[in-house]
Amino acid sequence: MLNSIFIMPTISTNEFRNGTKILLDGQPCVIIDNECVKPGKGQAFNRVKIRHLLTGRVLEKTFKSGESVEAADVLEQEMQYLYAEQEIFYFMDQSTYEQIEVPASILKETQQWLKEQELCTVTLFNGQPILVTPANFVSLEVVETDPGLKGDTSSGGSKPATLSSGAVVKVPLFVQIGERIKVDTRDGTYVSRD
Amino acid sequence: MAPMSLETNNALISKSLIEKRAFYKKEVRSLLESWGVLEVDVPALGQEACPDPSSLPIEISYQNQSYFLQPSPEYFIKRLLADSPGSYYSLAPCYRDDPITDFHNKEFLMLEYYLLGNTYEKARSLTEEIIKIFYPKAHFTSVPYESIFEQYLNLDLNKATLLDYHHICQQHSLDYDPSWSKQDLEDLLFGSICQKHLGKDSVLFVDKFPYEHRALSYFDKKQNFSYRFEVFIHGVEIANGYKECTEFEENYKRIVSWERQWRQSVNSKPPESKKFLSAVKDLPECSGVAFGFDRILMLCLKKERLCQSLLFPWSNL
Repeated sequence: MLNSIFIMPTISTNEFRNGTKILLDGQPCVIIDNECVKPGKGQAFNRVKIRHLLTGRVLEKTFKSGESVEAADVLEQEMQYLYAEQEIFYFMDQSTYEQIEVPASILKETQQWLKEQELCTVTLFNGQPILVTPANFVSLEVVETDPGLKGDTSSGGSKPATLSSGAVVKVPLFVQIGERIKVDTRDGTYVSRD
Repeated sequence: MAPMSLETNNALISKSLIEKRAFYKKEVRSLLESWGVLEVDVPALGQEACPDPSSLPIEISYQNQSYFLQPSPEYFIKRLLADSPGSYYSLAPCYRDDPITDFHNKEFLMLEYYLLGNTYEKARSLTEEIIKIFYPKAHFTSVPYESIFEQYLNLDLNKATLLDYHHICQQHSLDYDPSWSKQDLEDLLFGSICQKHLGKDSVLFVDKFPYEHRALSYFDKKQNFSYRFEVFIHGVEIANGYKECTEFEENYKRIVSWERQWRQSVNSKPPESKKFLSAVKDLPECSGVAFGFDRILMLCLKKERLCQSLLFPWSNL
């Protein structure tokens, strides 16, 4: 079979929605805000906030209304984290049992929130994983922390705790080794004991 | 009396909104009657439509022919005026192929009125009277279009270079494409930076539009401005009025220019304007105003989105 060129459809600004994936200068981006500027008669514009999926950078871009841009072949798939072996992380699509390999370099800080068998969102660009987003909350076991003072809930102080995934999180003084805690993966904060 | 609600298809249509819409329509009709303006009803579906890509008509294919839901009653009313001069108004739905925004619905109630004769000032007065139905204590101010750029951007439209426009965009962290024309950047700056300031403490009439923004209004070559006004309340454009251009050549040039813009940006054949242009030859002297009824209602009821002033917005068809 000859190499086929898959041409992505174009999207007009009229179809822009939050979450729409487009290509800007060949880079996959997602629209996170779309403002229509329509000064009565005359040219209308779309002022769009865009996040670069590879770098995470947010930028603003103005398009003339009616302009078309290339859609980006970006898919978000829910996949189950299996395990890691030699800096490669393995995820599985639960409906097709297909597995993909995601190198540690793609995962970056997300590594510290991975828990085996938990679901994550894997973002694929042209079929290749570019981003892994864990669930908003994950429950992990405390493997190391100072004892603190048992029953000390009055001072409201906190201490660092290392979790089974390798993450280090600030926890209240009453949390002990062996306890499971719920963590918000978006900002790395302690939510509650589990 | 406590507001009742009618529940239908997961949407709540407030009785209060039903009553308000009926009340304001009645008041507007009553005022227009007292001004001697006759109500006319023109088709929502026409064979022609204005090819202005900034007010895109919605095309319908019926029995292998193209028809257009009218973005404004203007084409039909002008054909009416050419046949039978008088002062007429239409209070009826219009349709535009615009994305839904806080201020746009694809179908909206348009109030459009035409006063026969040399009536530009009268049309402005009537517009003020209509606004007072919704805002009884309204004050009115009037500024020329160019002054808005001076006031909010320190920009002199007559002297500014393309680079000046670029600097101002950069100052306001406004992304732009360096290949865009001065006209494009002017529209971008007006809509993004200036408009939100217009009509805050008083209802603002913007007038003396330059040649490029004349649309179908009469352009006075001696005074070098168009007899066109736009009305703003709280940064929202409510109405657009003209002393209508009655010169065939001028109308023809404008239509051709719009058709060309249409071909550059829209993937279809522009709608025709033959019958309209034919009527322009007999168009009597008049002034016309297009007034967004749903919009002024939305503002006066302190709603945040246009859909909240409609009984059945696009999302609940």
